[in-house]
Amino acid sequence: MGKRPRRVLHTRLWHRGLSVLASTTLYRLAAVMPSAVSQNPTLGSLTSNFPLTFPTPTPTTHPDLVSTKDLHREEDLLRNPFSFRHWWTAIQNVKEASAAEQKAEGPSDLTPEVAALLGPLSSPAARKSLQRQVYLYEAALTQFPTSFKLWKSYLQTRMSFVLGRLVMKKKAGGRKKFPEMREALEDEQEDLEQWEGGLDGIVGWEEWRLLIATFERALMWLPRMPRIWLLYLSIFNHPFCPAQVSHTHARRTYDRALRTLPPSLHGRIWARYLLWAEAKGGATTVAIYRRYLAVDPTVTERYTAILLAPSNPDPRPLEAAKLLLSLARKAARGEYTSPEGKSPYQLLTEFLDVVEQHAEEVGMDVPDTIDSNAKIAQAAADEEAASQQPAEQASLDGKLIRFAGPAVTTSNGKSVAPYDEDEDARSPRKLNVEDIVRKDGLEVYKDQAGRLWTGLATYWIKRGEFDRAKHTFERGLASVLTIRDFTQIFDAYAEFSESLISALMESLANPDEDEDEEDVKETEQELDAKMKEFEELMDRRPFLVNDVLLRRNPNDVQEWEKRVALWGDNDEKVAETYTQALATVNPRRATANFHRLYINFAKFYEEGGTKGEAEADLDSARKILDKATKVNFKTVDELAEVWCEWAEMEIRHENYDEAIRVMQRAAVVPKNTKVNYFDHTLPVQARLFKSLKLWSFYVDLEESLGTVESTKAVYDKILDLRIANAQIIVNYASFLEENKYYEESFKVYERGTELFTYPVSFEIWNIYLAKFVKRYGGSKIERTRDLFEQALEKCPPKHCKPIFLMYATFEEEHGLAKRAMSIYDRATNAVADEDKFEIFTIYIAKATSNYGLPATRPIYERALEVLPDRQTAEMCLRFAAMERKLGEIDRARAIYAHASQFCDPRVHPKFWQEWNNFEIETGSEDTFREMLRIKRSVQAQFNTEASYLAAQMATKQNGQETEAEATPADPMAAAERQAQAAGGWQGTCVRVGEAEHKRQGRGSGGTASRGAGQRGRDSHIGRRDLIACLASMEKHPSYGALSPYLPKYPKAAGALFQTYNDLQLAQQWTDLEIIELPGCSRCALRGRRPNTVTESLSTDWIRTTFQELGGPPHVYLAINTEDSSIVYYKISPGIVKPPL
Amino acid sequence: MSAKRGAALVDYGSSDDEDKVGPGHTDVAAPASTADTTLPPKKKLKQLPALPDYLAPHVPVDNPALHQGRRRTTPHVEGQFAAYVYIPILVQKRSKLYKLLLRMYEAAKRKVPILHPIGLLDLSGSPKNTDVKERPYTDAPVSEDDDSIELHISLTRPTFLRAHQRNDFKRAVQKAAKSKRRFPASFATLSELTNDERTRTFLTLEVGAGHDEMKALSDDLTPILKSIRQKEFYQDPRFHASIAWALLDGSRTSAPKLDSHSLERDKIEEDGDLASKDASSGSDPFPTIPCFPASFVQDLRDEFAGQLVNSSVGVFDAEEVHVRIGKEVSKWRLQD
Repeated sequence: MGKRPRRVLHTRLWHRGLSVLASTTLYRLAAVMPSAVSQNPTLGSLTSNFPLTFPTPTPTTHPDLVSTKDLHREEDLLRNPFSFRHWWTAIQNVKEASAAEQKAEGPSDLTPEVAALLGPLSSPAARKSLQRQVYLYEAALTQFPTSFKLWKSYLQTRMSFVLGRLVMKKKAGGRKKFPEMREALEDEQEDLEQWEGGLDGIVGWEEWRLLIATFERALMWLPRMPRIWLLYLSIFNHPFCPAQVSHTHARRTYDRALRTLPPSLHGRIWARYLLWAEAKGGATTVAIYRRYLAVDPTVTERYTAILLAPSNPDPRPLEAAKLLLSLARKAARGEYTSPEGKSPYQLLTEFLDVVEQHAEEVGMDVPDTIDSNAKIAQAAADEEAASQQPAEQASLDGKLIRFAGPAVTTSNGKSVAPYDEDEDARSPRKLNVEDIVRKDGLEVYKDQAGRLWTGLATYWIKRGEFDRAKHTFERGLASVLTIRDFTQIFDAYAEFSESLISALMESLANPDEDEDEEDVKETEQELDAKMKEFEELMDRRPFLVNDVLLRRNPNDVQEWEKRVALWGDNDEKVAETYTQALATVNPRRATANFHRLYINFAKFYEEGGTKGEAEADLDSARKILDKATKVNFKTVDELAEVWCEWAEMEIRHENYDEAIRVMQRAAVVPKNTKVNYFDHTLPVQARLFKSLKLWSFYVDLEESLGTVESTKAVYDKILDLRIANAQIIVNYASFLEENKYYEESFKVYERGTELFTYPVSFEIWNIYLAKFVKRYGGSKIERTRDLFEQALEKCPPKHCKPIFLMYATFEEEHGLAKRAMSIYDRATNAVADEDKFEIFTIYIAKATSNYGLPATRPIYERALEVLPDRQTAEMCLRFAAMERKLGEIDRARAIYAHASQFCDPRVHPKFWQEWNNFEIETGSEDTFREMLRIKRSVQAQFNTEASYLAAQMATKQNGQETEAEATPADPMAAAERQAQAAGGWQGTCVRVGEAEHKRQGRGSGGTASRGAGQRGRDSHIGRRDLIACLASMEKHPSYGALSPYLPKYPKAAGALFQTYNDLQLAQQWTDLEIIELPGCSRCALRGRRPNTVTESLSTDWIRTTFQELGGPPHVYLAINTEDSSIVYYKISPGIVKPPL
Repeated sequence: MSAKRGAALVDYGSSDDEDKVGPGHTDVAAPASTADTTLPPKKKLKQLPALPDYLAPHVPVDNPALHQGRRRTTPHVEGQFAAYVYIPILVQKRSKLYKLLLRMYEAAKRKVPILHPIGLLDLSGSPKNTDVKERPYTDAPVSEDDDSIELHISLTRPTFLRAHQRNDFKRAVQKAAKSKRRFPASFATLSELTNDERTRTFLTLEVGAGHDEMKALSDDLTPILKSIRQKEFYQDPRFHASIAWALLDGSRTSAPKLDSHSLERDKIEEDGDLASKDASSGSDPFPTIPCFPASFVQDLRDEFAGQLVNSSVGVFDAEEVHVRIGKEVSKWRLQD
């Protein structure tokens, strides 16, 4: 606390002495520490050091400039005054010596604050050094006044003593040689020089002044050196630059530079100039930027940003808005591309933002706007009128002198846009925002109408013109075409209304003191009105949305219907809407169900309004429908619907005759019936007579209202027109049948079967035959048979099963059993494969009941021949059961044995179980063993079959699933490969020596081919199974040998794999090798067939055996066959009585 | 109906109703009268808005002024043709029948001045073949030449055909004509007949002999009429040839009504409102009457029936059947 008065005292002291100091300096000085007070420097004492360099120091004025050590140098220079090298060396030597001297000098006794004021010249040694160098440089310059090198070096030296040490920045990357101004500005901003220290502008004013004078001298000698100009200009950015030079002088210097230097160098100057102008702010910025923008508009966006910057104490929104508008217009015309990549619309929204934020400053008020709008409308009208008359030539060569606005450049003969005050940033006239938004916004950016309308409304809201804003919103809602725009405007509108209401309520809640009763009442009234408006707005919303959608597509029938629904029970409006819709919608472009509009409208009149409260007006309804029948709808169906609806209306009102008359009117058959129903070039009216819908309705009507004759006539017309479908035929026939015209009804069926082919006629035949049989039973057998034969004649296998069954049933009931059997027999041949089993089952059942079990044998045998394998097994089981029933155990066994070849024990355990039971119940040990042997061999057979792999997968799918998914690294690729492999599963494989190697060991001759067939069927397996197959293939021990070939020949891979394994493992071939046959895209196998022991045994040989064995009662001879089954023969010597 | 409506317009009409709904009327009349009182408000249902012009079909304007005050009884429908079948009778101008007809007309005209002649062109002074196309369905005879006039005896009611039904209809008429022999017929008496819509009344000569043959012809046409859903001829037909007509009061009441039931009758109720008749006949260019005066027909009968039934006057031969569809007339001779 004790220190404080002292400081104040000193402050006062300083204050008195330094009245000329700028306030910043004052503050800095005021902060001087009390410890430094002992030195007590005054401004006078500090400024007394300067000027150091004027008059130019010479040894005569400053004896200490030259010491004895320098005599040699001085003499040398005197002797060689024209040698630049001597001078240069001398200067460099002095520089080095001074630098060393300065370093050697002890710490300064000045306080840091004072030292900061003096900057680089704070030490006596520095001051001395400056004088020494100036002396030398000046002397040299008298010899070489135009040496750029010398001047530059000199100026830099001088600058370093005044401005402080230049901070060298590290530059990254190169610079563009001729960058855009926008980029140049950014680069320049980064590159602006910065200094450490520097001489205070007030203390060292003299020295600053001398520095500038030196620059002026340099420029006098070297005026066209841009480097020197730039050096000069750089000092104006110094923070200590004295106010005397940093404003007007700086600006003038910039201007001089521009005047002096050639235009190619202007870019470098302007970049600095603009930055400097930005730093200066206020009118300077505006003036300088305007000058630049006249030449290059690319930095307009930057300029507007500056104009509107929140830090700018004097924002100019009008100018910014005008500039943005001008840019937006130019961009829209394609004359301007925003360097910042903004779209024309974006520029316009920026303009709008400015307008919204500075509504008062930028835009006109309501009366002015109205005036302006009127003027614009007048001008447009005048122009319209003028365009009617030939234009009067304004000048002979078509060139006119521009009087208003800034100078513009005309390039490549393009005509310049006429002067517009709205784009002239200098003109103080405010903007007619409404007109601009309409012309430059809504007319150009139709898809952004929502934003533009809300922008305009916001403008009015900001100006407090709420009525105008409301009006704007309403106009926007009434003109937008998309829901998005609508929502945008509507939301803004609602928000505006809400905030208005809440503001009014607030003012009611907290009334101002100066408001009297009347004001309050007025506010209340206003509030009520606003509330009502708001509610109405909310109620109108669905209508407005509907309006938008209808504006977008006036042919949208559904929207019209919605509109009708919106009106609810307001009959006038509903009728108005309907009439409007019918007048507006273009039938050919309407969306679906345009006819519903007419029908619903007619119904509206018929029922007396939506609620039926008004008087029903059938006549009007008829008129509407009559009109509807003349409309060229998109589809014939729609027109037919209208007619049907009309007839129905007449029926509802019990005018039955009228209903039929209406249909008669509709169903007129023209003379030329060769009209294509689908020919859309014809009007629907011309195609109506082919509409089945119309005729179906007509015929229904006749059936219920008319006579049999009239109904028949209509049905016949339908048939004549060849538009009947099967249903019509069936209806017609059953109608006739109901009216007891049986024969005619059958004729109709016949006609139907002639008209239609299978599969449609199948249903007709089915009904026809059933009806016929039902009617005549056994009385017309021949005719019935004939019909059945006709039906079957062209019947595809897929459909003939029911007909055969019906036929057979008929024969059984009314004809001969034998014929019935023969029909079944025919059926077994004719029907589709999948139906065969069923037919056989029925056939066998019928045969059993008619002729007894034994008669079924041939049928079973045929079934086994004909049926596919899987069903064969099933049939075999039945066959075997039948034989067993008959006591033919051996036959049954043989059948089991036959069936076994189709039944993999692991896939059909049921079969084997049944055989097993059979053997336990009826067989002997031997037969049971035989069964087991067959089971093993079948299993072995299926093991080698690739199909088995798939089958096995199918049974064990769950267990395999995880493995299958885990195996292939790339499942898709694996699946792909496998699919190809599966395709070639049965692909041929050149198999050397196959001819000798017929599969002798396999059961019957048919087995091999059937096996192949089965494989073919079973190869239709799912992808998962395929993957699993692949997995097990890769695990197979032989995979290694085959792996190089399998992927190469994917088509034959399966066959190769299988054949290789068979030869290697089952057939025991040796020396197997795989030979590639690229020409055949297959692999061949070469190997050595093992020598099979096919010797014949003589009786002598057997006898010898008995002898050598010592004469046993019998021996067993094992005969090994190639499928590795062994047959044992019991051989006894001599003649043996067979066992009983 | 029209009388009731007229009564409702009178001030005291309602008090009459009140009197009726007195305490004395406890029987079935009470609910009926309450039903009556509730009816009018129902009738006063609000009207739906009229249809805009573009929805209304194009209809030629029906201007009664061009047709002596007659109105269409059936609205115009596009593509629809009016048709009727008749037996023509040629009356030579020198014949006694013609002269008798003239005298009859004059006598009638004296009593009912607004009477218009049918076929008796010379007398009426109206132009020949007046507006035939506008009223093809009326019994308007067409004279073939100047020496004779033609009277028509209708065999069907006015029938409405669609364009595609015309040929079928003609064929049916032809078939009926070919299957019949020509036959003699005669007029028996004079009578008054009114059209279905009660807009006009006619003075006619009724057919006596030949009635059965005409009935047979008419019956032959019934199936085709039924198949096109048109009304067959009257159950109990009175074949006749019209010779004069007059507008009835009913023709004033706006649009014609299509009453489904037949309104053929001999006499009209005697409740004619003379005042209204006087008022209407004054300035109106097309005066109407409620009906012929009471003894009008009887007087004519007394005067002329005797001469008409004379075998040299009212006897004629039915030789042809004509069918008129729109403007086109087709003719078939009966078998000889």
